[in-house]
Amino acid sequence: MATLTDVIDRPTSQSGLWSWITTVDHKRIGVLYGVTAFIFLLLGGVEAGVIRLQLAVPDNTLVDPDTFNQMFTMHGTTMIFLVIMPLSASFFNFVIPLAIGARDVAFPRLNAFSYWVFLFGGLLLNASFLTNQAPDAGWFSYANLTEKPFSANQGLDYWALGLQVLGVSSLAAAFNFVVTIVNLRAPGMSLMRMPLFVWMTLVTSILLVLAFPVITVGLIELTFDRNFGTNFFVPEGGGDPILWQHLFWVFGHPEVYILILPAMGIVSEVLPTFSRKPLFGYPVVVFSGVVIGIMGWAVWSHHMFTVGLGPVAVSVFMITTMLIAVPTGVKIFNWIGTLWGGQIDLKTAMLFALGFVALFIVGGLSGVSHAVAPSDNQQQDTYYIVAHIHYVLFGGALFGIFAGVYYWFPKVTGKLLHEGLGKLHFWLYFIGMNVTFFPMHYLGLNGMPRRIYTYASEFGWDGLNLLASLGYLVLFVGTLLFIVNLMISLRKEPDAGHDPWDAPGLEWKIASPPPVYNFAKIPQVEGLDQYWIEKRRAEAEGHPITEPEALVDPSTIHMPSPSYWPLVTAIGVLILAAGMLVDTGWDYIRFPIPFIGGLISFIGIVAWANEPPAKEHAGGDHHPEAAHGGGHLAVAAVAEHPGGGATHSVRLLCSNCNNQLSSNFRFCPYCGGAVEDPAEPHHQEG
Amino acid sequence: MSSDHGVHESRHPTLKQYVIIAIFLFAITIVEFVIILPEDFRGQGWTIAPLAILSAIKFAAVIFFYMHLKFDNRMLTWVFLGGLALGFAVVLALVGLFASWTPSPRAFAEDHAKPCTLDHELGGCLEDRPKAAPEPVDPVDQPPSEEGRTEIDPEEPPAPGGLVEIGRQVFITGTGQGAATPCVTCHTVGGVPEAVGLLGPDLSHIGTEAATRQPGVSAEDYIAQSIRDPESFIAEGVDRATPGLMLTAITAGLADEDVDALVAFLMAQQ
Amino acid sequence: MAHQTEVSHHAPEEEHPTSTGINNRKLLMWVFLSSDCLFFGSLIATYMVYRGQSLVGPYPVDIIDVPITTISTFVLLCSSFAMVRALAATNENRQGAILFWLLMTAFLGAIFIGFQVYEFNLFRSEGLRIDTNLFGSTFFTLTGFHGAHVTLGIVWLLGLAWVAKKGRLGPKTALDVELAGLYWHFVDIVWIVIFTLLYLIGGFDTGPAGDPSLVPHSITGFLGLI
Repeated sequence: MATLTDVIDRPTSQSGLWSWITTVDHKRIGVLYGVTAFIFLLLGGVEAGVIRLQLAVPDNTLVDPDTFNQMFTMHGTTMIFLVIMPLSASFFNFVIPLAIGARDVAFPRLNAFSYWVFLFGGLLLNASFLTNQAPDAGWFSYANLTEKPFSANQGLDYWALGLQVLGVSSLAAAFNFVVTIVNLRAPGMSLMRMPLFVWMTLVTSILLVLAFPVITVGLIELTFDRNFGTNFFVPEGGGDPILWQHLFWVFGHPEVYILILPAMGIVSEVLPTFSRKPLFGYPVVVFSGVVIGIMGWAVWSHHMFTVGLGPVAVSVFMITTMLIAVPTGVKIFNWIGTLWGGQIDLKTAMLFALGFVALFIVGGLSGVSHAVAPSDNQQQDTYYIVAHIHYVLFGGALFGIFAGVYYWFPKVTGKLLHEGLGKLHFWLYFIGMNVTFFPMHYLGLNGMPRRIYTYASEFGWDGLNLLASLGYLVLFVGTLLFIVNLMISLRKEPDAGHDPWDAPGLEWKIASPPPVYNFAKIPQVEGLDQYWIEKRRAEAEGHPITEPEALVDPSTIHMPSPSYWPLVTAIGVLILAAGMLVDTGWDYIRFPIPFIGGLISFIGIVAWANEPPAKEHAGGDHHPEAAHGGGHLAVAAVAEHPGGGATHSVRLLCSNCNNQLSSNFRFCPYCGGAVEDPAEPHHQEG
Repeated sequence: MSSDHGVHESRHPTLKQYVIIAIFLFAITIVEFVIILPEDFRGQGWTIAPLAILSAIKFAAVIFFYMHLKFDNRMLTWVFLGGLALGFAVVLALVGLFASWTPSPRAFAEDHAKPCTLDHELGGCLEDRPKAAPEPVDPVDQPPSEEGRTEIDPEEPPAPGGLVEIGRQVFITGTGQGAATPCVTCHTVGGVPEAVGLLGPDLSHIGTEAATRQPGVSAEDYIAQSIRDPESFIAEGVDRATPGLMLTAITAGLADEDVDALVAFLMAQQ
Repeated sequence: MAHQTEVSHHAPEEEHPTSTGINNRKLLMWVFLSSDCLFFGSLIATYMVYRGQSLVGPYPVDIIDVPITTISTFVLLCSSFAMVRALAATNENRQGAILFWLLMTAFLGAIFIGFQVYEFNLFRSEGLRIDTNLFGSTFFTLTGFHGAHVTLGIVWLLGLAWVAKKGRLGPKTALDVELAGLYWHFVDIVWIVIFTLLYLIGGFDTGPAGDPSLVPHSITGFLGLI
């Protein structure tokens, strides 16, 4: 392999297709994630459209029942694993290194690997349509419906293997972001000075790291059941289908927070920016996020109240589920507190963030209503659940993500999205979302089961179903409008400037789009909302900041070189997984193709480990001071910059109510007033 | 030693310590082996505690010394122990949820289960069928059912208890075929303890009422037709809050003999 | 903080001083091991939930041979000792010793795998396959994935030995050896748990009715086969 890496130089393309294929730049990978996930969003939206058309009128036979089952299964799986998670990952990739003042993530090539594996996993899952064997057992694929006698075609194999591949991607990305956030923060950025989005990314990544192995085991056992005759979930062999439910939801409930916490992080960035005041009760929001991450592990069986767990287990999970509503509610109060008394600027990003808060409250309330086990017995597997999940995932996660899209788009492209179209997009989404999903509460309580193929007119569900289907059309138009907005905005000249929103985060300090090296000089962090601190200080000194950080010659800054090997390794992973679909029936090696994939991955990894730096950097021309993405220990930084450490040692007084505050409050938790920091100029506005 | 180790990592165990730990690990493994050596001890519940503790000691020795967590940045210890504790908690929770001592409806049902030989013709258990067949209703009081019986008797020999009794069983348990929802789910019949459903009309006196409902339709035909096509006749005063609640599909699985038996049973409800 | 930055043959972008003072790759390895705890935890949970639930034999008591597995456990413990010697040799830059101890670790790991292959074949010949009963399913899945981890570790160690043979391992690249060591020791402690649960505690489980058909195994039987 040494010979291989000796012969093949590292790729050097700076532009064109090859530069994207071999890129290890976190910003480009973020864009790749975003574009890919958006295409999957359209696909999942089309699947949703088929569902809504089929259910629009009673006794409909637009599609056959098999196709319908495939549609709702693939809609759920796509939206969760191929849309919301990677869209969040797209923001992790683009924003996190910028927000913590780093040059890149800790493992740039691993990052590229994560993206390619995600893409291949999504393609593998959807390749099932080509063989007309799309998975059809629902997005949580309960055993023993998934066993060979009941799902004879290979749909569930596609599903299990696709999710395994996506799991590899998510795990690799999560490892990367845990290390990045823990280790690569700019000097002075202590944990309690990290922007909320960074915090939520950290919690999300930790949840991913710990939750995905559990579903991996569940999927392995399912695959073994289907292909090797084991009896893990087969009652005839003594197995218990309930174990699948447990393994799925031990993963699945942390997964719910994996989906929603990034959106909460985005909203916690957007609301303060457009309210022109710091996040209300920052430490409390951080703490709530961490508590949600921990408690998220103790509630999974509330998805299973009706399977007969027994009164003790049901009571325990009922209580923990009700408790987890507390930190979530705390966050909502903090967001409202942030808005309170702020100079609210209703830009599109802000509208989506406000929509998030409103709709998430509705989803949260219906969630609490099925935390109550007796009431859940009525709601289980009805459209009420469908309404709830869409309020938290569409109204919650997706609205949060769109808030992020409108907020960071100018940073990614240097161009603002059109505000008028954006607002129309928001209102279409907000109205369409409520028209589509609110009636489902009533349908569910009237007894309409989820995943039902069609229904008789006599049940009295016609009107509300038709209404929901009309709501889908509104969402459809809203999505088209967003695409139009993207096209119009991408064609115009850059007009955003480096800091269109007067935002607090470090990412706004540099040019838009950011140069490849991000920061010419690694920033020194003095407190929370660092860029606000700098801008207000500069204004106080009479020379406001209007320009981004000056660009420097990129060749003076050492950056990771592009690489082929993440892609090669990812192709190996794809062949390894897809090869499991080809059963030769041979005696000893029934599945030969995975070995080929394994070999390709092995070659990729060995070459990866041994490849030299690109030629122009090979001379060991290394600038530790300018180049490293991380920084010194936070404490050391404080020692070097006495001003920056002020919040650590000085007791703060609220300028409004004169309450004494402990160190890290940037904002008075008693009255909401601004905090006087004697060591630095007053920087709050509201 | 690599210089990018921080100040916490400047020490590694010495060779002597490594050897001592290795011997220690071997010794514990031997003790574990000795514990289960006597045949009588094997698989005994009490061996679990010492074996688990000894394993935990081995585990700790390896992670703290061989993996030198003891000498490393404290954060790494938390990173690892966090995952370990969570994994342990998941194992404990799942074992607890599946353990026999967790009170579960399934265990309750098994404890209170009766022997049951499924009756594939009529549904329910054969054990529940009355052995001798005391005819509860005086046949003299029900001339229509006698007529009905004469019509179907040639094809189907009457089961013990007569056609009315078969009808009663079908009414209570369904037939176990097709839509299995039994009539008692929705209909009340006086004198039948299972029949307390409130969704459908009260059938306690249908035997007398049926004759007067529809001019030109005999009582038997009226009932039979209403079973086969529930929407055929709608009696006055029936709650129509949910029209079409009794679907044709519910009774589609009934054989003609079942319907005849039901008619006989219902005609007996005077 | 006067961190001195290393420049190795590895990607230099990964060798910078960090916010916590922990090397990035080392933190990555520990986060991975933490994650792997949940992986083996779930497999062990499956085994525990299905313990004693097999509908047909062979049951553990018919099959499990504790003495043989005690030997393979010793072998794996020995390999962990060899691994720490390899790391110490790397830190002290004793080139011959690095190669020797790396190969020794891999060799002992291979012996362990040999024991496992022997055991699997024996069980197979005695009628326990992965699809025979729940014991077979859970046993082969859990120990099989552990064996896969060991095999991966052997490949890693051989790769390191190849690097060592070229003289590229030394104090400056000790982290390469240390990471392989962390992985190797982790696989060892997972085996400590599996050995206790599946062999010492669960190895004498009988079937639901207390199946008396106990097939005796012994070391002599194993030696006789050789």
